[in-house]
Amino acid sequence: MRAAALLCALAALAPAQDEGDPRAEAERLLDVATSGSPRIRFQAALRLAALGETGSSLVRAQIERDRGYLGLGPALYEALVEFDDLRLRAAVWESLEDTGNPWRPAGARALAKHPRSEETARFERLLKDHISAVRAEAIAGVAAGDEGHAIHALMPLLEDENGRVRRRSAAALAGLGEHHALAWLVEDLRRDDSWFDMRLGRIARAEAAQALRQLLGREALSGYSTRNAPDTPENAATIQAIEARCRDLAGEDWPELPDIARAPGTIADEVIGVELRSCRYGELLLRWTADDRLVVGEGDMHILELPEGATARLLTRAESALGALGDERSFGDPGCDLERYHIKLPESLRSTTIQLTKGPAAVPNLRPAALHPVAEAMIKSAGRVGIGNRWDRRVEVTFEALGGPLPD
Amino acid sequence: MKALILSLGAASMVAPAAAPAAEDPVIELSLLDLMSIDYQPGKELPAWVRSLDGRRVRIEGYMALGTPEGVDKFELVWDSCGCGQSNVNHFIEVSLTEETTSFDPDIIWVEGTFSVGEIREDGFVVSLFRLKTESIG
Repeated sequence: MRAAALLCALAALAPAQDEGDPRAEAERLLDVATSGSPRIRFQAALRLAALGETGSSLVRAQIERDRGYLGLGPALYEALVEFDDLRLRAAVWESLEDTGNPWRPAGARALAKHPRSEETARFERLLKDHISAVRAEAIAGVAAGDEGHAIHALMPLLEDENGRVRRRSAAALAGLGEHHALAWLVEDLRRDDSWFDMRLGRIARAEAAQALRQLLGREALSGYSTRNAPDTPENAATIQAIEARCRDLAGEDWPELPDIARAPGTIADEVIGVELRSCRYGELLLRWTADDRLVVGEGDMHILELPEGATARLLTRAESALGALGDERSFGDPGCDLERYHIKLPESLRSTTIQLTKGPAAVPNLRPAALHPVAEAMIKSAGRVGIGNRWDRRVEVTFEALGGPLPD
Repeated sequence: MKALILSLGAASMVAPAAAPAAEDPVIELSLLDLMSIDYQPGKELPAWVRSLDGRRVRIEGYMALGTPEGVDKFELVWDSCGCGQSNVNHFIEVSLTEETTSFDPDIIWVEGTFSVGEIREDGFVVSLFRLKTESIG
């Protein structure tokens, strides 16, 4: 059915030269979907899906012949569920079991876009994934299943360590009639925290505002601007009004929010930090304050005391690295793997950023040698705080998955 | 003149494709809203999206990773990693009229004249949303 609808929608755009030869057209589209401009790969993949068996047989052959799904590239991989072919859908599910798969969030998103009732248990397993983006995408798949079951499965995610996961679960629960979950979204309208120059509060506000618009109607947030601080008179008035409306909906179920869901306060004197985002190992945010505290994650929930002088020693190494790197701040090619250092030197108003980026494949020597002492010191400093659960190894592995191994 | 900020809700009520006028209010727009539409090439866009054509808007996002230095165009995306941009309604093509790019990994705001509509090359839609602005805020 979906393939037929796509065919109708795309028929007007099909180029004339290959109309008489579906196989040739399918091969052309496969080529564009795998190696054309990133802007049009997904469209080509959808057109390929609309060709029915001609398209899907070509894709199946490509998977068998090449290196499995990894040879398809991210756009065609995400479009596999758009083919009217359950074997390709099964291939996406199978690929999610592969921890080396760099596109697991995209796979989860694609599957959850068109969920099937018999897949509820599989979606539920993804709610416990180590990558927050996978958990966030799986929520829609769970929410589409049995209502009571979905509510039970989604409730724990209201205390997830990741803000986006909490917002998505709150929105899904509110959509299922659990109006108390609106409290999470209303609270995020009040967030104004930042992580160095990343204004995480503003991102949270924008996502919460969008969810509330979808749940309560566009007019509900009329007057609320995510650009402005939440305590401006207009924003504060809108938040007050929307909270009153949500409290009415929730009645006696309006909750006392857990600490993790509360708008975080400002972390004073953050001077050096690293943002590690890996397609395979998830994300890790670490920042050190001038008074020797390590703040783990986005908010202000996990703050650990460090030995005196720990941050100063780290900052000294970072200053040396900055000197050695000169004006170079960005290394590698665009991709989902990111290792980004934030260094706020004394007297500076803004932090200096150095970023390494790459795609799924390992890139030898991606991290410049000048940064190795900084990475090494961060691993030691963060790893020794004794969080447990193999935390020290997790820090090291995440660094190595991004910028590459450190020299012995 | 201080710009008057309208919410997207108000934007959905304005007349479609109005020519920008000096007194036009600035419409605050979210990429998340544009990304959430059920877009397929050739399919008519929702009325609230069409109504933004030609209007002055303000929108936040990230410069797409890989944006070269010193060019007058870049893609504005919602995720700093660019992980979620598989479709043409997931980015805005921003044209700078008075400066060139200097990559900024932080979230940015751009304000300018918005245009909506498919631009096709070789049968594929290569651009859906565009914004012309003097500078990056």
